[in-house]
Amino acid sequence: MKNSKICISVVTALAISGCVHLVSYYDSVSYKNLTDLKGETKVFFESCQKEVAKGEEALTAIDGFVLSSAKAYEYEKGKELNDDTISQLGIIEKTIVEVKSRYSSNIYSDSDCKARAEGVADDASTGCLTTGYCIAKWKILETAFDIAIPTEQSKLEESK
Amino acid sequence: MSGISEFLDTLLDESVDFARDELKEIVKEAKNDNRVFIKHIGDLTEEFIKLRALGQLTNDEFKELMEDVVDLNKMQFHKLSVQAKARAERIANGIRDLVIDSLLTLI
Repeated sequence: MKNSKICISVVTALAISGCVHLVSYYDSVSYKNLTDLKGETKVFFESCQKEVAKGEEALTAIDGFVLSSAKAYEYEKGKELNDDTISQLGIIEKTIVEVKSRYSSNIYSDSDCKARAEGVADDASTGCLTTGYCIAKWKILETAFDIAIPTEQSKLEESK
Repeated sequence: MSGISEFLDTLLDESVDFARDELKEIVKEAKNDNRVFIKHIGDLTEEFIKLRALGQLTNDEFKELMEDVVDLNKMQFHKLSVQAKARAERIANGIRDLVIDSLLTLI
């Protein structure tokens, strides 16, 4: 009985003296993951807004930022009190995976990029993205990063 | 072409039964909102309808992009949630430091 009273007193004292935490701390790794990913995608989308994205180089670039966004998402999932950021990174990852899917579902032939005929299997090696799609998709991604980056910045620094 | 009416006229036959006035009103309301994010969503919606009207997007691409716009709204909600939590945390810890730990020891 005496021990349980001591335990309750200790827990109460810790609860009163401890900091209140509602959201994860600002994390410079999270911030860097987001700004790096924005930079990678920006370079790619600026280029494909002028010229159809096609070939090995474009596919390698897309695969690169699909991997980076998956890593960034998994990193966020490992933190506590981080549900909002996890959801944001999940949406960014989904949006980037859509780019790869779009690339695979199109085909470049006769100097034109168009959707594969119905019933034809997707094939990334002969895929492409149109300039119109790149213009619109970059507007989405830029907005997504411009929401997620200030979200991380708005978190509080850990008390020293 | 300059506005959403013209873009919709390009995409739709006059006889098609579609709530074009409601869509125009939603986009107009968003574009005139004084919150930057809502205005931006209105601009994006109009821009994508324009790109579809100009034949620069397929129906499938247009659908994907408009679903992305809905996702941007969800992301903004999470941003506001984090800002509200950080603000609440700052206030709670301020009360603890200044009132419970400091003021109460002096009065």
